[in-house]
Amino acid sequence: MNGENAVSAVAAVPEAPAELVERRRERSLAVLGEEELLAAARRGDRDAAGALLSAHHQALLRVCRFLLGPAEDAEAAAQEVLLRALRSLDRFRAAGSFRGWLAAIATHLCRDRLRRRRLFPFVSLEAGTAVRGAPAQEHVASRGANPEEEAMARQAAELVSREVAALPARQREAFTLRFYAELELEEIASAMAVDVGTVKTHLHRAVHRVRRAVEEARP
Amino acid sequence: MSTSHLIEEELDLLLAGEELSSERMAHVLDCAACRARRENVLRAVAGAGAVIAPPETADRVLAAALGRWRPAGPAWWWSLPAAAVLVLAVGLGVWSRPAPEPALDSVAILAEVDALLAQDPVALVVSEALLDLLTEEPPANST
Repeated sequence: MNGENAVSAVAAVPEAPAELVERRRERSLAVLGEEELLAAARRGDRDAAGALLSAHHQALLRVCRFLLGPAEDAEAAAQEVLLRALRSLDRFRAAGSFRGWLAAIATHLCRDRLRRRRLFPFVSLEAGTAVRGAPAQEHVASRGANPEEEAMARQAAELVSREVAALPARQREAFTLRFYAELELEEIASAMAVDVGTVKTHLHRAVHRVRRAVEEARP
Repeated sequence: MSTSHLIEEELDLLLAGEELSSERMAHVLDCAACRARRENVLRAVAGAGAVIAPPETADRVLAAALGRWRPAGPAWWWSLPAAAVLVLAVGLGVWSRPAPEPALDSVAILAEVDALLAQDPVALVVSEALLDLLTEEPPANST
């Protein structure tokens, strides 16, 4: 079944209540693959577009936050990335991964914003995320088994954020795309418009620095 | 199997997503200490990601982007060839239509008839007599 049929078939049930139709439609979207969702989104199906992007939007927000820091509105940047992607769906080619394509848009948009503002990015949990109403305690604490573990996990997360923020720009990009967009080395190279060898160099330096900071804080 | 633990460079390579030799990878699989070391770093990195981009914020960002999105309709330039074809078809239809039959010129015909009658008035009388004969009703009491 192609995407068009899957999306439109449920809406064609003549006498089903609206809620039932909607539930059926959501279930249909849930079972569609990325390719089918992409095809439906290209035809202007808003629900399919939402389902397509919902697998990547959190990663994109992470990328924008780490690349921009608190000096820029990362939420606005992530929204702009998603909107540009929606408007350019026809330009995406299946040769690469959809997430890699989105990450490339995010990387270039963040570079552009930083270049225009001429700001050196600096991420601080206090200044960067607490402002957004992102309670650090809630998200890290839920992973811990007890208060002591929770506190240590929170400290480790803050430490990593500071270390990533302090990385040189290209190392920060490589690290962010690897760990927060979960891209392969080739995809990172494509997003950063460099070769794989350069990515490896940036990534090794970044990993070395972050790893040492974490191990020194919690050997 | 190698029993020595991962050195820093090997751990960095592993964290960066690169493959070690099969012997060293086998060690990582069997060595709880090396695995714990790797997972400790990955957990801290993942924790920072969770803090910096909570799901509800990401959902709000996506909803805002979808709200601003206006799916493009059919591209306007597609209508140009269609319009050109339509104009061409109408034009060809007009030019290939057979010429209309000339309308009867009643004035000219009447003038021609008048001229004929003027030359031969008897023709009119005969034809009227013949018409009377053909249409004459039979007498009511023929007996």
